[in-house]
Amino acid sequence: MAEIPLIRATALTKSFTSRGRTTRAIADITFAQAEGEFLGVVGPSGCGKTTLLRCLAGLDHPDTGTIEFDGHPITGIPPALSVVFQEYNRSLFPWLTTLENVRFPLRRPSSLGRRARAATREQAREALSRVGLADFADHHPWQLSGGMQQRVALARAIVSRPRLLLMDEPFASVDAQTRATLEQLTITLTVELGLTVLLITHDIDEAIFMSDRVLVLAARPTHILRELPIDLPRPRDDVETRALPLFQNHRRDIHHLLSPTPDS
Amino acid sequence: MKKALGYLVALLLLVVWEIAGRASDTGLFPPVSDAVTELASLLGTGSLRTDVLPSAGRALAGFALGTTLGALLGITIGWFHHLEPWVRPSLEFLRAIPPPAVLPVAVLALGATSGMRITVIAAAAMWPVLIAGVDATRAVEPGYVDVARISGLSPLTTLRRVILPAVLPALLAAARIALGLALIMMVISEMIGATAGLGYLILQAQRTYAIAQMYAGIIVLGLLGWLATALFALLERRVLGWYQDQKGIADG
Repeated sequence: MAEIPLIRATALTKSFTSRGRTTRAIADITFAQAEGEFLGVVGPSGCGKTTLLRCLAGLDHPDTGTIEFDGHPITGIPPALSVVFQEYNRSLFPWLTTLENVRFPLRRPSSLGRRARAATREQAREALSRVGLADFADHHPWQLSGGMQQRVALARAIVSRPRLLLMDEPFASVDAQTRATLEQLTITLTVELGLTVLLITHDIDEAIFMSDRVLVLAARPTHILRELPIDLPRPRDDVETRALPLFQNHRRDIHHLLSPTPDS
Repeated sequence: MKKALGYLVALLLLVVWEIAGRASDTGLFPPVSDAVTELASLLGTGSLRTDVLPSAGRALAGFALGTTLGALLGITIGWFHHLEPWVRPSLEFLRAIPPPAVLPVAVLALGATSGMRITVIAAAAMWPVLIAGVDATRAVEPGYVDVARISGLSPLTTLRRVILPAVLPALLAAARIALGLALIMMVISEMIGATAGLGYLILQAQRTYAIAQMYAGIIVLGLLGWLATALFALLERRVLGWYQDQKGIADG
């Protein structure tokens, strides 16, 4: 890669101290992600994936190591970044309508004139219709199903056209059917908007299905076990792609990495 | 239908009062009709302007002052939560003091003035909101704050656009309790060193054996409390409509 990667993490480590006991969450993580790449990060539950995402988002600070966004070390939260969190009911505001929730990252009321405010409303409407919820603008999140709420969270994440979209187990709280639909929707949005996505998941199939490349993480304290290019053809299809022998091979490889045999 | 039944029961109670009052010949328990007649003449002689409205005004001022102060302090302490261990024991001690006990202190410090009465009402109304504010602010979903940070909101904007709406249900529930306390303190504060006001009116009527007038004053108090609660419910409906709908709380 000759050009500068969009995000680059170098030798990250992170520990937590609680009640005098120190837990190492991240032992050593180094990777880079190019603009336009869909990167999957897969690892066992509780391995420190979320900690990694929080560091990348600037919500937490690594103990050592550096994170560069667009070639510059980050000091705080990069403005061109957004996040879809796992639990929609902990990230959507129940007192706002879906439209106002989606508009939330855009609005700076004091600095905006009437026309600019109307423009942000239009922007939010456009994002809502991209996730198929144009007719639910005036609903409150709790009036919608789980899958629809996660669509709202997705709309909120793309409304500002982020350069990097971080997703933390975004489909773990919905049923399998909805999950497949949301995966497909995310892929569609990625293509339409030319998004760069970093997806964190414990679901191996999901990581393979969606990504251009997958990082396989070890159990806590985590490090990268392997980087796996996923050269499955695009556009990917929920049924056809998953049936390909290459898909099966990738899945077998990652399974072996994550559940080592007793003698290994 | 159920609502109508409720009013019927209330009417029945009034009839019972009327009959019992007429049957009693001690003069200490007049029938409700006497009390209402007295109420009408009281209001006719300008008591509405000299007693009722000033009392209600003081209760409102004290309630507004106390709950605002309580909300500000509560959210501040909850937000800077490393502050809490330093102040919690003092807060727990101070709020455990029954509000009427501070009345003598207030009279000493401020004299028998309107300001003194507003102060003790505010002091009583502040506590429920303050404590609820601390707890609710600490309990705000951390995910909400993450979203605010990712969206690039300043701490002050986060406070206004995320914390405040998130704690509002708890604050208003506490303010409802504070409203009752404010009315209690209004009456009690007017029983010391006062020459006007509802509390004064009731006490004075009792001392001069104007028993019907005493009951008239109590009825006014009841009406005042009922009106305040109704107005408060309207306010709650206006600012917390989303919350009541989400929790399926319907108006009674």
